[in-house]
Amino acid sequence: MTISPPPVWKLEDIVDLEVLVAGEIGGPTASGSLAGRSRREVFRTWLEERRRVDFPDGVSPGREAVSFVRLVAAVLFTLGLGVGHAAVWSFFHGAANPGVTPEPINVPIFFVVCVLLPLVVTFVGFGAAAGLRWLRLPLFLRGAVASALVGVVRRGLRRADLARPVEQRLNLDSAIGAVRQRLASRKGALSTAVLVAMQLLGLGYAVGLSGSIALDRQFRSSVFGWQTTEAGMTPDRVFAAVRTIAMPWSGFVQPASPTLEQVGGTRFVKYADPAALPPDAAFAWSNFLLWSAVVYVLAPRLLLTLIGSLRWRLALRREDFGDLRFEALGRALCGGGGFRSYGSGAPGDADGSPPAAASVAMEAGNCLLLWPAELASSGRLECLREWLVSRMGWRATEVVEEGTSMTRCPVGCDRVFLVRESFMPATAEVLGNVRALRREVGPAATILVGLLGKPDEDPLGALPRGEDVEVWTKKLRALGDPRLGVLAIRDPR
Amino acid sequence: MNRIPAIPTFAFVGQPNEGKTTVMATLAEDDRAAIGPVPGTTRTSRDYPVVVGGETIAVFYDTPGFEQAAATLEWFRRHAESPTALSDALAEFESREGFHAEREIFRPLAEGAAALYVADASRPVREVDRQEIEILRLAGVRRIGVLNSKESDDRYRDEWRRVMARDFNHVHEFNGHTASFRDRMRLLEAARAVLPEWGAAMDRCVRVLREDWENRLREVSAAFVGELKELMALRKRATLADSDADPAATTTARETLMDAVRHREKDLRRRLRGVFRHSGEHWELGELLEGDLFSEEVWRLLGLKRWQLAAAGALVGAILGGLVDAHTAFTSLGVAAMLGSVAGGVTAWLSAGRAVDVNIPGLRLGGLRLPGGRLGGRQVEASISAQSNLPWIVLDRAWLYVDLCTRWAHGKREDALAKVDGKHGAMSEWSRDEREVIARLLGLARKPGADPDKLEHASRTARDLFLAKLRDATTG
Repeated sequence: MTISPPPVWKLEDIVDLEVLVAGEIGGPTASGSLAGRSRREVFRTWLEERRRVDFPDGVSPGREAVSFVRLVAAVLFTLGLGVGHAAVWSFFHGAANPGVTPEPINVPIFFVVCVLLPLVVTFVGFGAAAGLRWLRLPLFLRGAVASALVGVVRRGLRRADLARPVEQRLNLDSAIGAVRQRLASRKGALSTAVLVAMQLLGLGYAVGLSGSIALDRQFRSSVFGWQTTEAGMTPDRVFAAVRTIAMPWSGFVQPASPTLEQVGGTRFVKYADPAALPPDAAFAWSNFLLWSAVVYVLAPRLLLTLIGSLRWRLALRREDFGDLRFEALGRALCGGGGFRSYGSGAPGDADGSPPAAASVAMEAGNCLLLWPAELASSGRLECLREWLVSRMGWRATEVVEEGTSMTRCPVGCDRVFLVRESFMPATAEVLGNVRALRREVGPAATILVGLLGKPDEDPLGALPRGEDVEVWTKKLRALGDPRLGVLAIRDPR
Repeated sequence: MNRIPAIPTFAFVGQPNEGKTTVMATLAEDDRAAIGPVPGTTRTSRDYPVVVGGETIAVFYDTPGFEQAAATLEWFRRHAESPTALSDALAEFESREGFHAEREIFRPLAEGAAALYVADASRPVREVDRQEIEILRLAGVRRIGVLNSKESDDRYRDEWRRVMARDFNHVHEFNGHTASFRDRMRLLEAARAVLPEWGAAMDRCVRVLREDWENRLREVSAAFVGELKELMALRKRATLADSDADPAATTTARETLMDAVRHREKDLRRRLRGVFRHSGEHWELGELLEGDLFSEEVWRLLGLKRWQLAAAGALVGAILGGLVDAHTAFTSLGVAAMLGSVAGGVTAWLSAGRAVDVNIPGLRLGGLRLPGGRLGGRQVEASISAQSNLPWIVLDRAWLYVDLCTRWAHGKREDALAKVDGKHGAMSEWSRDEREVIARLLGLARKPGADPDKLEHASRTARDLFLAKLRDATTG
C-alpha cells in the first residue's frame, strides 16, 4: 500500500467507510508499513485502496451523499432567500395595496419582525454553537413542546407500526437503529451538520431580506413611517433608539438613520394621508432598514455559518473510529496478539456457526460478566470464563448476578459481557434492562450480549439457533447503541 | 370477580413466540391470524369467534406476549388485596408507556375470558415464566395451562407440569402444529371439566362441533363418490384428420382428458379446503401431492399394487359378465361372469400403468352400437381405462389431501408435507372388501348404460365406507 492518505477526513470519506464496513470487510490486511500508525491513518489508507477497487469510476456512496447534501443546502438557501424576499414583499407591497386605505411602511413593526426576531434566533444559534444551555428554551417549555410533539408523533408511529408485518417492523427498527448507532457515534458532527443546515436557511433569509430592501429602494418609492398607541413613545425616544441601532454603520453611511425632524415628521396617524409625510425621510428610513438587515441579520448569520463550518471540520477531525463496528476492521488491518475474530455476520457460516451480530474482534482485557442468577452453576460459569478467554481474550474479573445493581463499572473494566438465552424472547423488559445497564456503565463501555443455546450435555448448551440470534441482533441494533454488540456463545471444542 | 360471559371465551396468553396464535388458530380453525417465527408477530388482542350454523359457540382471543412481566408482577403484588386488581391494572396500564402488550392481554381477561396460558414445553422454565404465572394467579382469572411443543423435543414437559400444577386449574398438552380434531375436542372437554360455570355452554359447544365435524365428513364422502363417478364417466373426443391411425388426434384426446382430470382434482381440493375452513392453500404439499398426477413418481407411490389392481379388475369384469348372465336368466351358469373376471384381471394386470384408453367410439342407436360410425366425421374418444390405476391414484391423493386438511393445524404455516412424502397411498392399505366397494362403484360408473339403482346402491355403499374410514381417521 503506497497511497499517501490525505490528512483530513471529509463527509464522503466517512460515508464510504461506513458503507464498506457495513458490507464485507476485505482488501488489504495487516501490513508492516501500517505498524505504529493511528487508526485514522490506517483506515484512510484502507479506504483509498478499497475505493480504487470498489468504485473505479469514482462514484462512491460518499460522493453521492455529498451531492445530496449540497442539493439540500442549495434548496435550504433558496428557501431562505424566498422567505426573506416574501417578508419584504408582504410589508412593502401590502402598504401600497390600492384596495385598502394607503398607509406607509411601519418601520418598527418591520424591524421587530424581520430584523429583531431573526437576530434572537441567531443568538440562540450562537448559544447552541457555544454549548450555552442558558440560551435554549426553558426546560418546562421545551418539555411541554416536546411532549406535545412527541406524543402526536409517537401515536402516529405506533398506529403505523401495528399495521406493519412483524418482519418488516423488525427490519425497519433495526435499520433505523443502525443509522442511530452511526449518528450516536458522532453526535457533535450531527448537531453541527444541523447547525450548518439551519445557517444556510438563515443565510438565505438574510440575503433575501437585504437584497429585497436594496432593490425596493432602487426601483420603488416606498413611504416609511411609524405609529404607536404607546403614549410614552415620543419622537425623541424613537430617534434615540434609531440612532443607537444605527451606531455600527453611522461612521461610514450617510444618512445612517433619519434625523429627529424626519422621525417627528413621519409619525403616522391612522387614516391620515401618507403623501403628507416628508419625502426626504423615506430615503433615510430605507437606508436604516437596509443596514439593519445587513448588520443585524446578514453579518451574524455569516459569522454563525463560518463557526458551523469550523465546528464541522473539528468534529470530523475528532472521529476516532472507536466504536464496536470498527473493531474487526481495526484488528484486521493492524493485527496484534490476544485477539480472536469470529462470525462473519452472515447466517450460515461454513462451520455451521450461527451469525454474530457484528464481526467482533476485541482487544484482550478484563471484563465484567453479567450473568442471570437462574443459569448459575459453577461448571457452566467456569466454561464460560474459559470460553471468554479463549475466544475473545476477555478475562472475566468480576461476575455479577443479574439483578444486582451496579453503580459504576468496576475500575479498569470498560467491557461488560451480558449472558442471555437465545431461545427466550428479547422483550421490552429485556431491552429496557440493557438500556439501564448502559446508563450504569456509561457510554464508553462496550457491552456484548452473549447468547446461549438450549441446555444440553455441554455446559455451554447447544448451538443457538441462527434465527434466534438474528432476531436478537436486530432487536439490540434497534436500540441504536454504537457500543453494544451481540454474539452467539458456542463451545470452542 | 369479573362478570362471566355467556359464551365460553378464552384468551391465549403467555410469553412472546410460545405459539399462542398457533394454538388459537388450530383450536378456532381460523387461519387468518398472522403466524411467524419472529417474536411479537401478534401486537393487538383480537377475537376469533367460532361460528357454526350462524351461531357463535365460543370465542378465542389471541393476545400479544408479555413484554413487562417483572414490572407487571410488581404492580399486582402491590395490589394483591384489591378485588378489582385486574380492571385496576388495565386502567393503570392504559396510561403507562411501554405496557401496550399488557393492556392488550388484560383487556379480554377483564371482560371475563378464561386464560389459556401457552408455554413451549421444548424449553426450560425460566423466572419470567414464573412471574407470568403468578400474574395470572394474582389477577384472579380462571386459567388452564397449555403445553405446546414448538419442537419435537419436549423433555421439559414434566418440569412445566410441576410449575403449572400449583397455579392452574388444569394443565393440558396440545401441540398447535399437529393437533387433530380429536385433540381439539379433548382440550375443550378438559376446559369444560374445570370451568363449571360454563358447563352447559361448553357441553353445547363440544356437541355442536362434533355434529359439525360429522357433517363435514359426510360432505367429503359425498365429494369423493361424486368425483369418482364423474371421473369414470369422463370422455374427451378429437376429430381424426384422415386415417384411423391419426396419432395427433389420439394425443389430443388423451391430453384433453388428462387436463380435465387435473382440473377436476384441483377443483376437488378447493372444495375440500373449504369444508375444513382452510382459506387458502397455505402449505407446501411436497412432491407426492404437488407433483403431476400422471408423473411416474406419483404412480409408483400411490394407487393399488399390481395384484390388487388385478383383483379389482377381476371384480369389475365379473360384475360386467354377471350382467350378461342376468340377461340369460343365468342359463349361462355364470360362465360370462367367470370369463369377465378372468379377462378383467388379466387386462388390469397387463395395463396397470395405463391411465387413458383411446378408442374410436361406436354410434349408438338405442341399444344397438355401430362400431366406428359417426355422423359429421370420425372421432377418437379418450376415457379412463376400466382397470386403470388412475381413479385409485386420484382417490389416494384426495385422501392424503383430506388427511392434510384435517391434521394440518390451522396454526401451522410451514414445513408442509414431510410426513406424507414417501408414504404409500391409503387405498393399498384398505382391506380387499373395502377395495371391492370402490371397484364396484368404478365399474358401474364407467358403464354408460348401467342400472341407476345399482349405481345408486354402489354410491351409497362407497359413501358409507368413506365416512366410516374418515371417522376412524379423525375422531377415533
